[in-house]
Amino acid sequence: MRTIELRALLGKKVFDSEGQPLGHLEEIEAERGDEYCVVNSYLVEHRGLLDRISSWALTASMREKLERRASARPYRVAWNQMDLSDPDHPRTLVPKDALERAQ
Amino acid sequence: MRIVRDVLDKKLIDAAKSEIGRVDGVTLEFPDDGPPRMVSLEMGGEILAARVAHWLVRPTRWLADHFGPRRERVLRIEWKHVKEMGRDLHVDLLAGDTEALAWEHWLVEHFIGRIPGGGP
Amino acid sequence: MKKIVQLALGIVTGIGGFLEIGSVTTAAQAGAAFGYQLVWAILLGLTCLGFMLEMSGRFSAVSKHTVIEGLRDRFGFGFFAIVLAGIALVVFLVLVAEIGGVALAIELGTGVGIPWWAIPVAFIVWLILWKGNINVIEDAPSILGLLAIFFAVGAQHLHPDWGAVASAAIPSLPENDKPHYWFLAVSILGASISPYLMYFYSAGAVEDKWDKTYLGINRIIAGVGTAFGGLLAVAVLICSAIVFHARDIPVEHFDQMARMMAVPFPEWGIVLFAFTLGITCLGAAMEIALAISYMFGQGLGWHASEEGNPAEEARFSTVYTVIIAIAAIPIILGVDPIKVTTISMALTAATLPLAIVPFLILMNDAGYVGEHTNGPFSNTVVVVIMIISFILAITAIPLQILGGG
Repeated sequence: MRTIELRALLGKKVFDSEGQPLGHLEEIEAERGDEYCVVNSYLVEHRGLLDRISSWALTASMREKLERRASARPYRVAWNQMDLSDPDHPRTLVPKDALERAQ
Repeated sequence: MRIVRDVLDKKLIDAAKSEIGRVDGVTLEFPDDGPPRMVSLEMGGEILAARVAHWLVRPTRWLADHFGPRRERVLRIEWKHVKEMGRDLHVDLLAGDTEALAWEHWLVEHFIGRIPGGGP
Repeated sequence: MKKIVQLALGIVTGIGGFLEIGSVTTAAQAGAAFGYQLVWAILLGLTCLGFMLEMSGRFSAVSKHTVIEGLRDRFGFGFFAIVLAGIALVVFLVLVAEIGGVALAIELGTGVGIPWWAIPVAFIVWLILWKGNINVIEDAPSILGLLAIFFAVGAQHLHPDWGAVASAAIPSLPENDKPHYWFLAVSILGASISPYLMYFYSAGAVEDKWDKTYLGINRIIAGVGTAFGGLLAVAVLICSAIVFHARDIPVEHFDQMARMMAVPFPEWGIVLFAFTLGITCLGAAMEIALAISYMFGQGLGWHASEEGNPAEEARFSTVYTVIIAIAAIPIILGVDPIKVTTISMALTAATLPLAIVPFLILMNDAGYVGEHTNGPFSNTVVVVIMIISFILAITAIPLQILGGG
């Protein structure tokens, strides 16, 4: 069993199974439990130039205020669709068309 | 819930309603089969340094090794101690039972306590 | 009853808090160089400050957290560290200027040089924080600082052309020396809109355990306090305009500024000026030292309060002790407090977006302020003034440096 610290994953660039860039790993959705919280999915967001020059959280909230085009919504990658064997280079196990989009 | 939005950087309040610190990081466990899980919260200057820039970790580590109290580099609080989640996270531990206040005690002993009026 | 007392004290703090070495010197320099022309800059600055203080009070009353806590909470440590570093650095320069301001005031009264007073002044600032609590720190200098009303009395004695003053509320272009004009405008804005006031106000609201019932009081304190304070700065500008500009006397040195109050008050003018400046700078120095300690303490999750004794807040006390000690050093070494003031005011204006933008996001986030989010008017006012300050800062500062100011 491996342990990875969150900071090692956050902000990392994620590619799909075909090598297409998806965006950056920005958030983790989990189910709260008593002993631990079970991870359901990862949210991968595409960041433009503006986003890259400021914090991910800051610009994410600014974008929340504006209307978002469907293609700008983050990808929701289920836990079993993500390959984190190399935490510096996360990849999904499926192509991006097979991925769900989050709110 | 979302870990970055609802857990990371939140203030930790102990059983006596005083501040322990803030959640600087989180540990994820990846079992051989089954989904990953968040098992503990982390606190520590080194973790913060890593979040700002990787090259800051070494100097931060050096400072911690040569100055201040002897303590673990990373303070871990297991998720099972978290009893309430809101704007802050409430845990069932007491700050004094953890190493969270190591710097406080060290500063009282070596600096603040040596100035008149600074004693406990 | 308690609320009325708090209201009164709050307004007093606002009045006394607005004036310190930055607002006094920038207003005096503006009056001497351009007469009444820069009144609009003071009014613009105080408008923005009033809105920002009201917002930070509202944020704390509703969320029961300080603005700093909200920043780390909402944006994460990475961004918070950038804000902390940038603002703390600039505010630290202002602290140097305020310590220098107290030393300057004592020099005016005693004739003994500024560097000699740096250590005693720093020690007094530190001692009050060490021994006092937040109420003493907020209230005592502010009540004493009400003496600043004498600037308004002095202005009245000089019989200004009130019509001309009023029309200067509308921005106008200078006939000559444009770089200096805009640089002074930037400095005035930087002197008025100080982020540390926001953080200090917010920390005070939490320590006083404000809740939603204080929202009305908050609006009055922020609005009235700032308005009165700003009008006192206008009074300083008027005095300087009449005494210096009308006679075409450039103001280069601080004792000249003091002498401008000798015109309406021949016997007591200089002493009153020195005393008022000293008290207001002392109050500002304490607020800044605390604000920086709050930024570290609240951001890193320490127990950060001025209520307990120092041993109960060792990290918090260590921060203000160390920064006050370091801030005294430039003054001991003979750095001119006026120069530090001018630079720090301009830098404050240039770094305003760092403080204001994330704060505005917080004020529009119902997760923190519930139904009390900003309306479009508040947002617009603050954003517009911030943009004006920023654009002026990035254009005027280089021009001033090139023009040799």
